[in-house]
Amino acid sequence: MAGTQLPAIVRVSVWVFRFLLYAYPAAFRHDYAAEMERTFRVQCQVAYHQAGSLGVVRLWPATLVDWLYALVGERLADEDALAQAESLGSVALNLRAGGTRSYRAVAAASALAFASVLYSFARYPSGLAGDTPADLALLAIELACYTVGAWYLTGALAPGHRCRATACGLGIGAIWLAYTVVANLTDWGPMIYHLVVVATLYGSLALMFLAGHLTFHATGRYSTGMCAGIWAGMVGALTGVLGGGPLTYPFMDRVLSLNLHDPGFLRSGMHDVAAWTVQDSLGGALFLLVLGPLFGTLLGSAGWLAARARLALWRT
Amino acid sequence: VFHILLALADGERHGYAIMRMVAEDTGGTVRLGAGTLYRSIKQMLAAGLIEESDERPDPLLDDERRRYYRITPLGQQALQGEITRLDRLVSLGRRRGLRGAATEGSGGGR
Repeated sequence: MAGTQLPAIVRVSVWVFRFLLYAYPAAFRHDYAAEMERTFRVQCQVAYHQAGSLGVVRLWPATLVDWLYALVGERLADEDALAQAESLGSVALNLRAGGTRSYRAVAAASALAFASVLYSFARYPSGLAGDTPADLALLAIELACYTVGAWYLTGALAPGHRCRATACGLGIGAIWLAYTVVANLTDWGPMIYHLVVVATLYGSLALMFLAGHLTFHATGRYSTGMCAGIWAGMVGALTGVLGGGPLTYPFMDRVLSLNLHDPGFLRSGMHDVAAWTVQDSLGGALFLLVLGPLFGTLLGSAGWLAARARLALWRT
Repeated sequence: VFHILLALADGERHGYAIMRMVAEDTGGTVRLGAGTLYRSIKQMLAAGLIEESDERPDPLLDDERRRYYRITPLGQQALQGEITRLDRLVSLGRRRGLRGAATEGSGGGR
């Protein structure tokens, strides 16, 4: 039966099924997608001849369960093959496995960094901190922890494929530094301030997305693309944390004289550079250790999906 | 895997024919979806239990893009081994006075 003579419900079902097949790993799809589609089309035709449209509809629950089951199996098999192929393995696999060198190192560095920040706030309950050597030492510990965490984490990323992600991460860092300048050294009014906040957020997310997209395109590997998003977030946060203090320190009088638009916890009662730096470090730490990996994972995956879709379109 | 090997035991078949044969063999209790079927085929090809056939049973009647699969000597060996194992288990059960539901039904008549 030619494709044009197929009943509408069969044609739509086959179209949806074809779309679902894109979720399978590329190698499996390359070998079996056409055959699977052909088989499903025959199944639909037989069901239609036996029970009409209802027969085709009845085919779908079992088809979806089977699709999901096979998809999970193939994806895991694909990742396992990848893990065997890569000597270091990926961050995603490490986290899934529940404990490797990089995972433990990041956890330890994170714990140390947060302990340091908590100590700062315990010592200065009002949020005011001095610029004593002890405060600076605390800050140095935090920054060292972020650096160690990021270093070990990237040790598990695909070696040789970090350049694009690093460039994207530096872009994120630049965006955050620009935000620091606008938020702290200018007084352009609430409208501009909120626009800058939105641009900062979306700019950072877009660059994480881009890192995942570009790296997948270069390697063809899901986990590498995902990790590239994480790494971009890490580099961005690290750049923001390391650059924020030195950038605004020379202009601290101006920072403190401005009628700031963000009346929240970040600047209320902030009287000196150490308090500002510690509190911004807390923001940086949250971004680095929580939002960076989280958004990196989500957006790296989204970038990967976009790259797969583009590749699929290009192939067809 | 066993059902697919069994479906291929008496000749080469394409994917949908395997699917239909398994459903017939099991009285509809095992219904393979396309995903499960082709995952199994992939694994069986890798294990050398089946192979792809270049020939078509009737090239004039069949879609030439369809892929046919046939059992290999290793697959036949595996199938034979599994049948022997199941046979022994069934014999053991019978020796201990156990009977399956299907056997009881067919033995009872009406």
